[in-house]
Amino acid sequence: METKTLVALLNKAFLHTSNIISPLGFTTLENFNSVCEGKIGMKNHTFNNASYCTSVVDTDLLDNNFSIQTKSNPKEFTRLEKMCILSVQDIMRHSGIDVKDKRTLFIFSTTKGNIDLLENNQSNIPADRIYLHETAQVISTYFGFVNKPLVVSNACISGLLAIIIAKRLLADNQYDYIIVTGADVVSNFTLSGFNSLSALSSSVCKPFDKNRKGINLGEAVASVLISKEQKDNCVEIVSGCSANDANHISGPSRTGEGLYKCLQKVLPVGFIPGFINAHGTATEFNDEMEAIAFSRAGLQDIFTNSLKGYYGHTLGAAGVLESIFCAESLKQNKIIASAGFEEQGTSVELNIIKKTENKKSTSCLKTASGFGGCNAAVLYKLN
Amino acid sequence: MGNYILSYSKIAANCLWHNGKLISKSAETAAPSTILEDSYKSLNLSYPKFFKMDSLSKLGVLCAEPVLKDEPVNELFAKEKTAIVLSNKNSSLQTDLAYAKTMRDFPSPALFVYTLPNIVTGEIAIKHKITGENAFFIEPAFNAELLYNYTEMLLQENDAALCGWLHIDEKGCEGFLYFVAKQPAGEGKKSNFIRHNPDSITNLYIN
Repeated sequence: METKTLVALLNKAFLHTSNIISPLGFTTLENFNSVCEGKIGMKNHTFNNASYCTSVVDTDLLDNNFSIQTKSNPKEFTRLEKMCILSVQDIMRHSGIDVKDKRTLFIFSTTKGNIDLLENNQSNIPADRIYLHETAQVISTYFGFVNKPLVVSNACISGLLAIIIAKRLLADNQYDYIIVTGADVVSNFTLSGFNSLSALSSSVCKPFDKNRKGINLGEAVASVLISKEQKDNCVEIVSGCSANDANHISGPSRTGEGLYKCLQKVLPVGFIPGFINAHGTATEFNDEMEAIAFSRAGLQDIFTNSLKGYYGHTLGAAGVLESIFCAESLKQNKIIASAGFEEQGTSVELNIIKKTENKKSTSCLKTASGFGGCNAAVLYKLN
Repeated sequence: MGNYILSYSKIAANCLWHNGKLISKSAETAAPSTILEDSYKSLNLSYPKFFKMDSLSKLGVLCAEPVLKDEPVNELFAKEKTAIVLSNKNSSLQTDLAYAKTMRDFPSPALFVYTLPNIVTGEIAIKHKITGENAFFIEPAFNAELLYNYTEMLLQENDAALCGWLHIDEKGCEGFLYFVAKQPAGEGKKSNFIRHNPDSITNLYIN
């Protein structure tokens, strides 16, 4: 029995200091406060002579911050890399972890990385930075990590999957400290692609609402330090997994098969989480699929929100950004309104949070789903 | 105890191999698209969806076919507990470039949906109804250590995994997939199977 307890303790992993770089702030606190005040990142921006409702970080603000905070030349890095460096630097400043330690790992999660290099040839940026591992290596080298970065690119579950992978690596005792950074920028490439699929909403997106018209794309970088250290008021990654629908490469399963499988695996029998932070992209099919999966798992009455109404869909950053919000919500006793929601819009009625208010929860469920039929879920618990 | 590689396949240097046996051979000068089509024919596949796929997905589906249809693999196929762990260097760059070319005039949704590396994971999952864990890693070169480590962790809670490397660029394609499971089906066959470790994975990849 004693051995068993010891193993269980060793297997634990916790979310620690974090950072979010987005139009709503350059720290986790700024972002969390902005969202609690109901601020929204999306505005109309012009890309390639067309107007899109997107959540984009101001370039001058980014470059100024980058110059002041890092003393490095902003011209040597892409927009995405600058956001990543600022984000990881904030983690470094608050954690003091040793990047030279073989037991420290940097995990980079992205879907498209520096995809904007495909069309805007930037003479100051070497062409090989289009490779995701090169981008990760540039960020890693900047800080001097001795370990090679681990790059996860698994569509829209990338960020959440990176956190699950971090937990597994810690549980397997391969590392002591892992920084997970999720990152994607808004580009002509992704805008035109989602537009070609008729998946973009021309106005601010409305997850789970009856009148939802599709997604907004957003850009963000989110980083979190994960370790086995248990501190007061910190959030534990209790369990996490992924599953494939084996149904369609660009449409979710009508029965929410993969997501339901994740929920079954992640939630202990009879366990009800305090709230659910769903994927909630505001496409007709995604939100409907989630509603079906949640109800199949008996979770339709649980408080549920989506953060896409504040940030848009930040692709490879979403799982990390939203997990940080889960942790802050638990720590600060808040439940956050699902921005854009007015009227029930799924075949199964969900308990969507309409107002941000103080409410204590000790656990929450985070889910994500993406192209390629992938799904992921994590159960977080406040210690 | 320990995990075993029950079956493996490779598309490299204009050939498709399964468990070391030559299945298909294209002309020395054959383009990747021809190598993939020749392999499709040699496997006697009849799967119309194949022709809608991008090259990365075709490469993955073709490598997966003989492995997942292999007798010992088929016997212990627990689809919910089979993971798919893949890796490459370029993500979906070839298709990204192809899509970018269409962007100015008529952006192609049919191409755009393939501009993620894990779409091939979905294609393999759909064809073989595999609903387990997924992960796609981007590495500068084939990394047996990473695949081994991650798969071993997954096998603590899962039955099996299809793993490997699927690389495609303007010069050619290189696919290597193998199936790892906890226990080979039938004790008597055990000697035929390869122990799962970084060295054995590297050997199968190189040879």
